[in-house]
Amino acid sequence: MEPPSATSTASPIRDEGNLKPRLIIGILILACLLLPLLVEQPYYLYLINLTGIHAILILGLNLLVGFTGMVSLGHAGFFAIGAYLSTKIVMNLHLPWILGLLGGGTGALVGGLILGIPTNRMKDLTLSLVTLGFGISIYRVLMSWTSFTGGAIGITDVPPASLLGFSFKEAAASFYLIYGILGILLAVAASMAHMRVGRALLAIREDEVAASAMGINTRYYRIMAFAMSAFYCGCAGSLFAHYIGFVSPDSFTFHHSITFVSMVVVGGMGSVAGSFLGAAGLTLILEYFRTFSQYQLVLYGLSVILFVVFLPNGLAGLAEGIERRVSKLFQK
Amino acid sequence: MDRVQGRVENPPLASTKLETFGREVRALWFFLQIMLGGLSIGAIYSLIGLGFSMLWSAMGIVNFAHGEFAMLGAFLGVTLMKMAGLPFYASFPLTAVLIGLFSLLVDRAVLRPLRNRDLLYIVIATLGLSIFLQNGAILVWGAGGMLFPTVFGAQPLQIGGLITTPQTLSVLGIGILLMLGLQVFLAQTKIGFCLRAAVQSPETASLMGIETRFTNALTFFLAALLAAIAGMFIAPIVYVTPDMGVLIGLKGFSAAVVGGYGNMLGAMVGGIIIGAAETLGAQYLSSAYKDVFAFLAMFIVLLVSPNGLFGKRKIDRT
Repeated sequence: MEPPSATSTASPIRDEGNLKPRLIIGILILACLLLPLLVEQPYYLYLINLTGIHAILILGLNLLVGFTGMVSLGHAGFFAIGAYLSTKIVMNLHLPWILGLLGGGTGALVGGLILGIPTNRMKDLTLSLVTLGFGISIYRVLMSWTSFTGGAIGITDVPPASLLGFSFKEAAASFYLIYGILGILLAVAASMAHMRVGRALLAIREDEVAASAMGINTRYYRIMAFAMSAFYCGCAGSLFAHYIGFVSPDSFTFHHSITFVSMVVVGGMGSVAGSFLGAAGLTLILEYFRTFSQYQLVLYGLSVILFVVFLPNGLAGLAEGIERRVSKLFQK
Repeated sequence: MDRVQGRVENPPLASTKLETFGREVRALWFFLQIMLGGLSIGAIYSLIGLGFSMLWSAMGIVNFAHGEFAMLGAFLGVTLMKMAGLPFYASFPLTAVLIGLFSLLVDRAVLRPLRNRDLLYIVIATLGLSIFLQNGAILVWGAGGMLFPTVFGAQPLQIGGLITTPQTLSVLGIGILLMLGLQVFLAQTKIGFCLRAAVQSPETASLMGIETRFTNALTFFLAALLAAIAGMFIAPIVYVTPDMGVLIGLKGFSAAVVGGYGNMLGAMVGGIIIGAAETLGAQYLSSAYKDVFAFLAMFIVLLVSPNGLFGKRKIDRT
């Protein structure tokens, strides 16, 4: 990939500006906490929860794509590892859900290491192609390894998540769980962006040779980014399995991998806020287009193209532009 | 096969040694037969991979919707033959040219606005395009799929100990002819010369009076043409469905990367490797994991040589 020009990519450092008005953030969080009480239709709550799960996943993918410039087209594979492992841990080993979550995340992390270490020398398209092959291979394994994964039917009756005896059966309860975990992971990612790790990753994205000349162990950081990103995906997978209540290969296809990367780009590469915006944007658009029945995916494909062509900095860039204009308006 | 069996088992003094020899010979013939199938699938992947490599070396772009041209080619081919009643030899080139022209439209609408942007945007936009074309095909032709008439005949042929179909042989033959033809076109004709010049250095070529916009369009046209032909070749084997293009495209892309991205000879060899790996793996190990073997082959090659078999090593200099 050609080195991204300074204007075309969103820098995570910009989020610092977004975090400053703490009051607004606080009000937003409060409003969010009340959300499940206000939303009456269970379908809308389901969409909101799905957005939260996607946001965790996209956050993980953005760590990789946005911060290091490595493009993975196989993250549905890590999502699947997290979902299936967590399901297996809870259902077959009868361990508490929190271990399922951690186990799913760790399993995906190990998968990320297994894939990340040998692909370390690969770049750009080669890497995306290898990850793509990985995603499709995982899907094939899910379909064919019937004794473990249940084949095409998958595993049904996955118990809902539970923590310290409290079961997250209700959608509203799941909302707090999903968004709580999203909040934690978001905080980790946001603080990472300003620590040595985040800056090292950014330096690698901008210029790998210069970064290594500055004493950054590029190999180590690239592998770490890969593994962390896989861990986020695995956690999202666990939440997904226990929230939806069943897992089947249909949720982890090549198309899902594409959708995830599109979410990153539509949201804004390298932007923590953009991860959420991208997840929300595409999840909602995809659901909205459902009303057009057979035209759903045609319109979806078209809107992805339009987003990429007309919004190079993603929704985060758009939001920032609006914010800047609004603040200018007030200054006058 | 029968003849081989007869030859080995007939002698009255058939010792165990001869029997094992016979078994080995039969296994060898069987292997060659599988290999032939693998080669013909590989030729199809090569045609797709060639398109990927041409686009990359000419314009530095990657078109993830390239496999969809194969799918559209197969559908259009069926439509022209069944609905319009055209004979195969007329519908075949007509389809290829129509898909080639269609690709120019796609280039103008989607890829040209993104030409100077980061590669990731091109990847995402063409993936969106792929979703768009696939579901567009569902709207036009339905999700159920169609049967592509076997034009070369499916009646098994026996050549020596090999049992094969005219389909397999003609795909292999025409595939090789097309690739040779492309090489001759690039090496011998004036337009081919311009194309190669534009690939080598667009700026210098345009200074020399070569219209690079024309050569780029021609590259796009040729790549889509090859894809459409590949689609019509593979259609009788796999059944024409709107999602057939995805895996064909991805394996074609793998072929290009395995051979060294941007290298035409590499794309051809890469296609053969991918095709052989998946066919042999499906036959001897497990047919459910056919796609896994294809990608595993790619992975192993890339592990050994990250730039592909014939790829030039890029040197990082700052």
